[in-house]
Amino acid sequence: MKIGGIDISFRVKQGVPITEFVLHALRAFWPDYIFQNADEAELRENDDPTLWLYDTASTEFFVYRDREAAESWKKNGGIPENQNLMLHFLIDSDSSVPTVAVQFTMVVGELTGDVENFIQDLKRSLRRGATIPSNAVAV
Amino acid sequence: MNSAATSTLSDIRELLKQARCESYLEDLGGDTDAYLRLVQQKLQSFCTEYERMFRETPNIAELLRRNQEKGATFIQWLAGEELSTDLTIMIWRILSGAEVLSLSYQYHKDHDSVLEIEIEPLPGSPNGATPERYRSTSVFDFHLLSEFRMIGFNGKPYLFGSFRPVA
Repeated sequence: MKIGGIDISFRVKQGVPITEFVLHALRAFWPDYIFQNADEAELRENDDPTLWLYDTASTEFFVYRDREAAESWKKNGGIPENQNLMLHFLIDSDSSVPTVAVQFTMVVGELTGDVENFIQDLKRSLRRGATIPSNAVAV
Repeated sequence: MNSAATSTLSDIRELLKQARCESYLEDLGGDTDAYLRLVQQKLQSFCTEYERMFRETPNIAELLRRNQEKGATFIQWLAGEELSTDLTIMIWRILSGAEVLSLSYQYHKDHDSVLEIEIEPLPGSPNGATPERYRSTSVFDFHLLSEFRMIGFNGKPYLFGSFRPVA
C-alpha cells in the first residue's frame, strides 16, 4: 500500500500503553473508526472486544475514519481524496537498547485543522496522562 | 486456563508465572497451596459470574498468549488484590474496550466511601444497550481508581481505564 504523508514523531515515556491511549483518543476524534494491524488484512470495528484484548499489543497499525474510508483506501490507495481519511501509527519497539522513552510516530496525509488539533490533543494527553518528565518528550 | 473450574493448583502456579507474579508466593513461606486455592477460587467465581451475566466465557489463556501485558495485568489484579467479583468483571470489560460512561467516588474519612462506575455494554451484550453499573464500598476495590486516566479532546474530557501490570 502506498502511503506517503507527513511524519510526526515524539518520544513518550516507556511503559505508557500508547496503543491503548491512541485508540481511546481516536474514539473522540473518529467515533466510527476502523482499525487494521499493519501485518494483517483484517479490519476491525472499534467496538470489537478482540481489538482491545489482543490488538492493543500492536506497535504498528492503521486507523481509517470509517468503513467507507477503509474501503476506499483498499480500492484506491493513497489518492489525494484519501490522504486524511487514514492515520498510520508506529511505536518503536526496539528493546535491545535500554531507554526511558520510546519513539512514537504518526503519519498523516496533510496537517489540516482537525488532524492538527487531534495531534496536539494527543501529545498533551500522552504527556499529562503519563506524567512524562519534560526532558523525555520532544515536541 | 480457559475454565478455572478445571484448573489444578499446578495450572494456577503456571498462570502466576506467566503473569510475572509468582513472587506473590515467596511471601507465603512453604505453604502456598492455600493461596493457590484462593486464586483458583477467585478465577472460578469470576468465570462463573461472567458467564451468568454475559453468556460467554472469558478466555484468560488466550489473552495471555496474544497480549502478554494485558493478560499479566488481569492476573496481577486478580491474584494480588482482594477485589470483589463484580469489580473484577468490570476490569475485564474495560480491558475488552468498554467505554466509561460515568465514574463517581465519594470519600468520607472514617465513614463509608462509595465507588460507582457505569460503562457502555460491549457488542452482543444480552442486556442490549443498557449501561452496566458497578458499585462498591470495599476499600480494596477503591485501589482501581489509580488506573483511570483523563484525557481531553476538543475541549471535552474523556475518561478511560488503562490497567497496566505492576511487574
